[in-house]
Amino acid sequence: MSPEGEKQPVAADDSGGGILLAAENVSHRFPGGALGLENVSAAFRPARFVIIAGRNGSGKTLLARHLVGLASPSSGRILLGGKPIRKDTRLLRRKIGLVFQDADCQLVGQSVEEELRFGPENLCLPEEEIQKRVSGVSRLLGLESLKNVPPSRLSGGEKRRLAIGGVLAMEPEILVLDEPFANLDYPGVVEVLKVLTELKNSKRGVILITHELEKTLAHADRLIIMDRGRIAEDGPARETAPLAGKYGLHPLDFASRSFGEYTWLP
Amino acid sequence: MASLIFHYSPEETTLHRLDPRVKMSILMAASAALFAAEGRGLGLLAPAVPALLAAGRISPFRVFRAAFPLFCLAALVFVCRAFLTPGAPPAQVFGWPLPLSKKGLVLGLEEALRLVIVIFLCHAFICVTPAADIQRAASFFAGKKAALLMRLSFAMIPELLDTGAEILAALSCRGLSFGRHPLRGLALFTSAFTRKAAARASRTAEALEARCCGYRRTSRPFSPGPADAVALFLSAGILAASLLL
Ligand SMILES: Nc1ncnc2c1ncn2[C@@H]1O[C@H](COP(=O)(O)OP(=O)(O)OP(=O)(O)O)[C@@H](O)[C@H]1O
Ligand SMILES: [Mg+2]
Repeated sequence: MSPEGEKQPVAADDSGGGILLAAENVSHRFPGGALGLENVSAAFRPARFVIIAGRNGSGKTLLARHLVGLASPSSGRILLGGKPIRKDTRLLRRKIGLVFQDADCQLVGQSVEEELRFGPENLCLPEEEIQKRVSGVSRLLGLESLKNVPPSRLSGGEKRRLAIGGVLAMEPEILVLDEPFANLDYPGVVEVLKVLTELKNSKRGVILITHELEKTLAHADRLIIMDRGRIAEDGPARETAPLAGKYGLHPLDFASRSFGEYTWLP
Repeated sequence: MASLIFHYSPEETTLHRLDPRVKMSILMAASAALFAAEGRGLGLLAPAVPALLAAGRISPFRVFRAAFPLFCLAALVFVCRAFLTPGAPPAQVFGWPLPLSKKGLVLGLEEALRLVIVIFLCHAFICVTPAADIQRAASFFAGKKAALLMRLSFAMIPELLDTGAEILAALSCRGLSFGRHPLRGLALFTSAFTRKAAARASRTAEALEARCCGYRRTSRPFSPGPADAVALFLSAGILAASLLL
């Protein structure tokens, strides 16, 4: 790993269209002096399914916050379409959506419908478009019958689907999901996985932060493994996955199960 | 655990469906009339409250339980007014003169009643009007920036109340009884509340930021109907009568 301050080339998968989002030598120092991220460089394109994995406290959530401009780097920068993000984080958030690790923190609407409308209304979309998106997302995530229910009355899994729906309705070009499978039962995981693969097929990017590689690995084009605030491994998912066990993740046994079998999608 | 007061409660009632501008105008006019009306005028406004609660399917007992400290405040206002207003002749209870005046008694009752009605009115308004509608109506009356501020305040009130309720529940689950250790309970509650409220406020701000929240946003078009006209005329009539009586 390169020492702090040394410039690293921005890592990205080399195939496909242009780079939309990139972290360039991003470091994050907390007020107490502790280092949360150290020289993190990674680039992301639309239409790619990237998994970011790593043990607890390795800096995954912190990196996600940097990617949507909710935290500002102590050094290094975040680039959107090749241009550094400075004050105009609004443009960044239009293009990059974040589903928070804790759904409760994210839900701001007072009913399911209001929560789904919240993002598109902030984007100043016309009313017909908002209604179209809200009904599309409700159908996709099975939230239609819960339209008038306050989010505080939903179960953990329903809240999780609503949190994903609220961001999906903004139609970001890259969707960052922080541990989206927490609280979800088997059908819930399958539903979310379906949505994520559909997003990828519709040329949108997915950055999935998860420990649970066995549920999702088969869909990933690229796997980034974080360790102690640094990117320890970054490469095509097939090649990087066998190293997962080295970094405190559940070891994957490719002798008994092929790469394509690591999914919960039937 | 969620607190029970000042939360929007989705229901299918006429009050919920009313145009938010009408609801906000009625709330503002009623609050003004409440402080201008006296005696019989106030007596006319008081029965409007249970009618409003019934129309919005709002349980008065829940409000009473959840807003107990506010009702205690109303009682305190009554006691202070009654005992501290000079005047004669003194009221007598069972032949004993009490150190309070008739004028103080009437003033105290009026002020406590005003406070109680305001609590119920605000609760009823928030119960039947989602924050997004409050923002729409406020934006119509006071502009987009003020409307955003208003929405954020209305969104934070229940958050803070919930934080308080959660801390109280957590303290009691861990065996802390306020009855037996009031000072220790208060100290623990205050320190936990300050920390958690700040953390909650900053997380809510982040959630709003992440979804591009700003004062410029699409606002659902208003669609006033006959029910709105009826509500306006009815409340204007009651408020005018309360001022003339
Ligand atoms: N204010 C702070 N001061 C010091 N360290 C902090 C602060 N906030 C977070 N950290 C530390 O930063 C590190 C990265 O946290 P982060 O939430 O990104 O971890 P994570 O990889 O998402 O973990 P998990 O899998 O548990 O969600 C953690 O070790 C955490 O303790
Ligand atoms: Mg995390």
